[in-house]
Amino acid sequence: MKTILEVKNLTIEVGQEKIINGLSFSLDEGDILTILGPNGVGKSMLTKALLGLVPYQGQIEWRKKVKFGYLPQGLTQLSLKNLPLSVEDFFHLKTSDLEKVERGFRELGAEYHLIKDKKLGSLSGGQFQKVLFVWSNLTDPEVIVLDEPNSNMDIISQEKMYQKFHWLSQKKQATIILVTHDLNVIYKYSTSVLCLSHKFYCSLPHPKKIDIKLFSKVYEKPVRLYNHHLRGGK
Amino acid sequence: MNILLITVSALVISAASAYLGTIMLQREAVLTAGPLGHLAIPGAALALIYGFDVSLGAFPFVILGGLVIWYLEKYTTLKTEAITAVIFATAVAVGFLFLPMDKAEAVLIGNITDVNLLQTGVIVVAFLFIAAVLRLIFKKMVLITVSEDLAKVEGINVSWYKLVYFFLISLTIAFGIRLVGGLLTAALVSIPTAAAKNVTSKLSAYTLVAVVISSFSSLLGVLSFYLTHLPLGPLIIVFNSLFFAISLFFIKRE
Repeated sequence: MKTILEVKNLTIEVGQEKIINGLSFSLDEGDILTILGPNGVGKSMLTKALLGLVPYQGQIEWRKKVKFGYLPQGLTQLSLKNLPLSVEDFFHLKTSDLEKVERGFRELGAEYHLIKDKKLGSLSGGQFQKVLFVWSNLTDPEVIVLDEPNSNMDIISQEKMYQKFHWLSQKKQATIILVTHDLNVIYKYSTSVLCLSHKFYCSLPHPKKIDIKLFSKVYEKPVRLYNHHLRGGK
Repeated sequence: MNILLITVSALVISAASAYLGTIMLQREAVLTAGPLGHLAIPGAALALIYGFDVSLGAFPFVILGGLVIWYLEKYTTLKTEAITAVIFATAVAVGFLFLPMDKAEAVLIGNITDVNLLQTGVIVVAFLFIAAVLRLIFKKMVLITVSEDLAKVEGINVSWYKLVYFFLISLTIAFGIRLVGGLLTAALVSIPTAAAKNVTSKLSAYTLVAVVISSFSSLLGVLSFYLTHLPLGPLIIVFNSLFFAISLFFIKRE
């Protein structure tokens, strides 16, 4: 596997506060990296820094000419309710290949034609999240950064979304960087895990190395894991 | 001949203003056209005193005012509205210190009735340029409006596009002042786009409807001016308002 990303001694400051301090890790092509940690620890800031959206100190080195896809956290349909922009208009901003858009929705178990004429701002939270997910991998990016992509999505769509990026990683060698609080995803799909806590960082090459002790340490509180009946759940 | 030049000038200024307004309304920045129009008043006053074209006087002042607003936004914690209020009030005050009162009407509500062939040519060329650049940047500006982060990830240089967009606004306002004056420039970009937004939620239709409403308003304005000799700028805005009122009966809700 070729290395696609090398991060060395990364520091991100917001105001006077160091959100991330001295973080180093690397990623290979086709990796699915899950970034894990409690709220406010800097997971979203890290993804933004990796995409060059916020200033940072240290080194973030991507393989040359990498094409990115991004699903940001915090962009909601409510913030767009005043825009005269339909779902179809939105996708036209990126591509004229609407068959690809339709296929993207089908893969999530959704019907594009049911929402294409709806205003972006009038979608439900789950529908909007599906739009953003399809957008993020529409033009075959080599790296897809997904910041809490399952927010508001029903469990069927979540599972199909996970299957889709697993497929992208396996068949297209796409590298996936995923911020999630869904611990089942780590065991089932991740190839590596980056734990961010207020006190320490850990980069684990294999998710199986994560156990309840480590979770509790990362979240700084006792963590309990519940079994459920989803295929592959731990 | 003169009525033809007035018609052409009014038409191109109105159509391009509405086109630009469709981006401004989406960015909820449409009211900045008002203060920017006021920023032009000192420049327009100088133009009237020294006898050169009002638009030529207005343009550098709009650019200068915009840069001062941008600088203060960056280096203070004040909100844009507060900074804009300070700058545009200062500009109006300075403008009226020098503005000859007998010529104030042209600056406040516009006067394009004395436009000559050369000026019409300049207006047409300038607005073809504005429309062409708008067409080039339109989709990217819409994406920037949706999310600057998404736009940056798509490789769009957001700062550069915003600068081009601001330059187009300044140019449009400088010419808009000639047509409807510093008081009414905001109306020229906001009313047709607001009316269009009432009747459609599709982007392409929205832009088309705004441009059509604005163009019709300017044609009806010129016709009314020809028949009544009332001031042209306010007539154009009144027709825009009329179309806005009609659009209220066709509001598209989802």
